[in-house]
Amino acid sequence: MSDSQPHILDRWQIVEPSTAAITFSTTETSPVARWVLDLPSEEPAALARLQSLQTDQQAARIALNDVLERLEQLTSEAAAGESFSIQPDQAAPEEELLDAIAELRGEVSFAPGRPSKLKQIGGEFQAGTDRLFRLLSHLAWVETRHESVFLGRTVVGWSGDTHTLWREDSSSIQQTLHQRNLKLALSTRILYLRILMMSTQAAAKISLLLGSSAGVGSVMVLPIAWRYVNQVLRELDRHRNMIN
Amino acid sequence: MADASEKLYFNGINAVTGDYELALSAEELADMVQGIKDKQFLSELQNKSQSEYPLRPDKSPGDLAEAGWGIIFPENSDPAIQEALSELIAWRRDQAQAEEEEYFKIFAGDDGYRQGDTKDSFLSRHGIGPGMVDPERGVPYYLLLVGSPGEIPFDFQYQLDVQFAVGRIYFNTLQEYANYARSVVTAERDGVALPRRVSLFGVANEDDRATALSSQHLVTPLVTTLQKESDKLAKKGTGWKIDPYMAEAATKSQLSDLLNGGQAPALLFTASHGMGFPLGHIEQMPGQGALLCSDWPGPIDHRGPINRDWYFAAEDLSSEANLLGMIGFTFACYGAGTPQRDEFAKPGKTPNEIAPYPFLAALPTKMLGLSKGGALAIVGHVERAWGYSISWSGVTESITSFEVALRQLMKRFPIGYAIEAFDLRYAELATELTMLIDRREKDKYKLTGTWTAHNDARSYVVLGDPAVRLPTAEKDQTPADRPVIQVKSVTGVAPPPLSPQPQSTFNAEPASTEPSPSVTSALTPDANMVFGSLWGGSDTPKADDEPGPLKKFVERLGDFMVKMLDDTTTLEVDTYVSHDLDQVEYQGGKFVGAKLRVATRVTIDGDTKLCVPQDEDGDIDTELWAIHTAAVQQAQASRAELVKTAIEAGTSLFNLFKPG
Repeated sequence: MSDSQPHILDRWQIVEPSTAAITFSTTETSPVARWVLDLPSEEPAALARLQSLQTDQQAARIALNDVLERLEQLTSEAAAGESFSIQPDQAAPEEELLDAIAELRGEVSFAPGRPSKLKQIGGEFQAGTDRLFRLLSHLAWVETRHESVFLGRTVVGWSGDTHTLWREDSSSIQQTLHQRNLKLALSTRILYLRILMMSTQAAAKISLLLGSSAGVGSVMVLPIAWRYVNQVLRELDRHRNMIN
Repeated sequence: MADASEKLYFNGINAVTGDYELALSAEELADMVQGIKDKQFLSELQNKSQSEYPLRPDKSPGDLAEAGWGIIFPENSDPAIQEALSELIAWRRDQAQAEEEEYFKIFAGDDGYRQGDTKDSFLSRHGIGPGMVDPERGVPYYLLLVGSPGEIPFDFQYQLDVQFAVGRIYFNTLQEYANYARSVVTAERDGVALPRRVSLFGVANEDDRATALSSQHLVTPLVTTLQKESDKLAKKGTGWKIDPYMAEAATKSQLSDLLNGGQAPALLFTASHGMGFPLGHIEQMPGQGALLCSDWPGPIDHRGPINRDWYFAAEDLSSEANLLGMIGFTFACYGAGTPQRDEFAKPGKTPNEIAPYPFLAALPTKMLGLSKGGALAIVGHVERAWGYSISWSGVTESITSFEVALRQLMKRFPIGYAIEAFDLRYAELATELTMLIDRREKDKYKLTGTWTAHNDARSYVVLGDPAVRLPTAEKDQTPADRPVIQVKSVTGVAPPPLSPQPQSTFNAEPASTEPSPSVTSALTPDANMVFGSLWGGSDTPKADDEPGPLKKFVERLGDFMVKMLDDTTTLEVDTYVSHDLDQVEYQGGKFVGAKLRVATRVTIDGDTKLCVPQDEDGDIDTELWAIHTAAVQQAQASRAELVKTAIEAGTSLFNLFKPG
């Protein structure tokens, strides 16, 4: 996964099909994206792991909800004459965003041979959105393993049809583990879509930031917005690592 | 007042689980209260609480020529809606402009509600600050909002309503707008003289504290109050008939008789639980806020899903019913509408989504838009309604706002003015709350009680024109049956709550998906090269370019959404079991080598087919059934959220392409 993307999906071992296999049908030939979660052997540890995933997801949702406010803050600073200069205490996503904006406006001259950041951003956007479509348009095959024992498997079509396979003698705690894993996996899939949604809204804001001076259209800053939103989520990863 | 640890119950029942929609201890609730952010608005409300009169004192709120009337559309509202309401608009124009031209206003287009508007931004754009309403300043006292709460948020309505008399209508079809307009105009212009009759419908369910409270301490004293009022009015020749339907008499069939039986009362007051459904449940839109009647045996005698025969929903109201001239008041959770997010989220937590988008309750909406004659207005509650405010802070029956509102209606005051008592109460409680928060009140009882009552008072809204009044027979006038209205056919569907529709958006090729010529004009050469080729094959995007990744992305999202919406007409949930999971394969949409034990098929119209699991003795396998039921609920919720998020993403993306 690219460094610019959040680790929210790293919690599962996701096996994706190739891009060429994208389809919207749900026949046996439909490709699947396998979301496999292998939980620790002790049940309390397994539950704690799920709880941790849920906390991460909540944190990601909150961070996403803050994106527009953060951009608003940048806008206010710009309106107050602080322009788009990078402040010493600027958070990393804002710093990178301003950096990209500066390049977009031709304000930054890079040394010869230095790769264009915009090119990198464009590549990330393409890779990220490709992945998004694969995850959305394929059957989500969610498996829970506990101490390598296969607890349950659910196949979810992108229209919501749900087929679940249980071990006949599964205990209620095992059922809980799989149900919670399933819920988290599906929520994460939606979260990925929310990243796109927030990126489009952020793009509109960023183009407003630029609009009066550069006349840049919103669509064209979508890759920059995508990167910014992902960077905001990456901040969570860094915070989490610091806490841990 | 209850002990801090004792659970507080609210007037909402979850249709699926049969449990209360919300039960919190005073302590838990107090924790939530301390997260209140909108203190600026709270302190602004102090102005209201210090003024007992909402309108300039020399102006009569009962006369539109003095109070004024305005109608507010969202800035992008479909002109066809205004056209469908033209009869009502023309009628109000004549009334409000009888003396002063500026006492009538249409706020549409640039003057309409703009996305993100607050009360302040809207009013200041029209030259108005806080304080008493003076229609000469350009904004009339009576204001009708026309739009879904997705277009014009509930918060805007709450805030505006503190200062003005505000109502709202939103229908799914232009025909209903036209029906409503004709109903109001007919009731006021054509001499409708309904019998002076008020029905009070006081549900009481066994072992249920919420309805025990509302029936004993709200509806019963209201019956007494209204009888006294009627006795006074009788001396002037305008006495009323008070019809109470209490406890076991407050059944669904009784309510059906009242509404469908051809003799609906002029004024109807109900107090009951309102039905709540999980996020995205197929019944949420049609059923949320439906009135749970005394048929429900209560929380002890009945556990599990609520029987459909126990609550009165929109579909129970006949399309042939005639409620012309009626004004209703429902005290019930979600009786008027549901916000998108839980309004009781804990501080620091993101509020849970409780609905795919905010919406008005289906029952009052249907009551207003009936083709033979609709109700004029329904007052109801958005979000959960709180029995707490009936009995609060040591006062057993703190119901003055209800009494005042109903008495004012009986005296033929307009509904928007009649419920000013709720706004004053809201403002007063907000002032108290601001003070408690400012001094960091430690008494959680007090903080909780004040916040609860404050929220309760705030969330009463008028659905319908706030200037309507009961068309009851006046002194010496002979009451008559309701006339049947005739409205010419109006074709067309009003825009959905979430607009624009993604399907049409992405079918709008190629113009809407092409960047405007100026998109990259000011980009640096580097940027043009990178993002231009991201869009298409050349540095500068053109319509006939080979699609680049960005363009492909837009096209794929469009395809995805169109197909997704097409495929979400049914939901299939299957549960299989097997001894050896490793030997099971997934082929053709099923697990091969495993036993299919439970299957559910839900169609878009709510039709549900079930294959129920049985154990070896032929009894229902309750454990598996429980797992499967949870899976069905999760599938519904997950799909609803996916669809909603996809629509939001598509809408946002579409907006990027809009010029300007």
